[in-house]
Amino acid sequence: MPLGLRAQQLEEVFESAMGWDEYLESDPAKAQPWRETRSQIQLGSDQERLLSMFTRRMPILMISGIWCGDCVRQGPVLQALADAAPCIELKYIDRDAVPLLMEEVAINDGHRVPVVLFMAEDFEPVSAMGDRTLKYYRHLASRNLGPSCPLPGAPAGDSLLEDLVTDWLDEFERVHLLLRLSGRLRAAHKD
Amino acid sequence: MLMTATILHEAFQQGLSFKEFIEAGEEHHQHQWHERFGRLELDQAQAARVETFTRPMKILCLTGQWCGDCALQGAALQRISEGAGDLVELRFIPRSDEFAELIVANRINDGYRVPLTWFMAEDFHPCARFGDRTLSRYRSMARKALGDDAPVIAEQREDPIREVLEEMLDEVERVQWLLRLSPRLREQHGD
Repeated sequence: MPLGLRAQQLEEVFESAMGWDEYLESDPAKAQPWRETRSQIQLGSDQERLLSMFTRRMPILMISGIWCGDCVRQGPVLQALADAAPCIELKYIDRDAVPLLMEEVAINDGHRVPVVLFMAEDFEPVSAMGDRTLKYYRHLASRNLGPSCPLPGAPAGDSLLEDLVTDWLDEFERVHLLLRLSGRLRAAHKD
Repeated sequence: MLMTATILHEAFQQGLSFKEFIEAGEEHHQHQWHERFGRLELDQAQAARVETFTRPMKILCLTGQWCGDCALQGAALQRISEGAGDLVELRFIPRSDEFAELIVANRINDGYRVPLTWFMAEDFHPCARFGDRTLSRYRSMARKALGDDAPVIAEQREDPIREVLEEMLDEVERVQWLLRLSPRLREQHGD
């Protein structure tokens, strides 16, 4: 088995993955927190405008656990971003369904989730991001490590969902611009 | 993340320090690395962030001496590494045949792009892979290449060079928190 992600492998996994509704219906008992979190997310007008300007088809796969608290917080954020960008196709797959892929994207010697894979339209791998964003880690650190004074960059209040939106949107935008400026894709699309 | 600890460890051992890597290159490529380094001294706030680091970590940068983005990110990482004392060990390897296994397994958008940087735990287990360019660099490139059609709404910053330092520091800090809060490392370090 060669090392590294391959487009063919990713396409096959993506085809077997599920959209938002199907994923939540796969385990209705655990779906409610996902829906509640999604209902709390409202993108800003600038964020919606930016996402509406995306033009490259961008499949995104979230390797997830429907039981996983970090996935419950971040999956709905990804979905909110995808809902505002018609060219983004976001799908979810359970960690246990893709053991070989999990070996490839192991983090710190563990099979952590979520891991989010960003791909070009032909499933060529572009970026992998997980398990938590910087601002999410700052929230956790300020809560769990109990510093005597605030961490540099620590959130002032409970702004976790807003912070997750900005962190994930940055990576969505970065990957989209990589694809928009890609020589091979500009040649293919003549733009 | 996207590579085994064994392969990363071997590549790290063959890697060069910032100074060695620059000196190993052709003379006409050396200037851009020195120039970027000279402009990227950590400011007070950045130095304070680096001082919160607690976990040993390894950073391996796959790079090209001729590559402008490599010089920029490489110099930023060197400044961060110096600011963190002995905690952050940084090595550079060239995009050459001796690292073919690493290179072939880590194509981005069907290309052998650099820079590519792995952020690892003290025992070389990978935690993140970042590449090729940062968001701010892609925004600048899109404004130049696409003009009014660029899908970018962020304001242009005064100093785009220092913005890359901030972006690289964000990723190093993210991985630091990942390591600091890691149960396996907390157990090992008794903290």
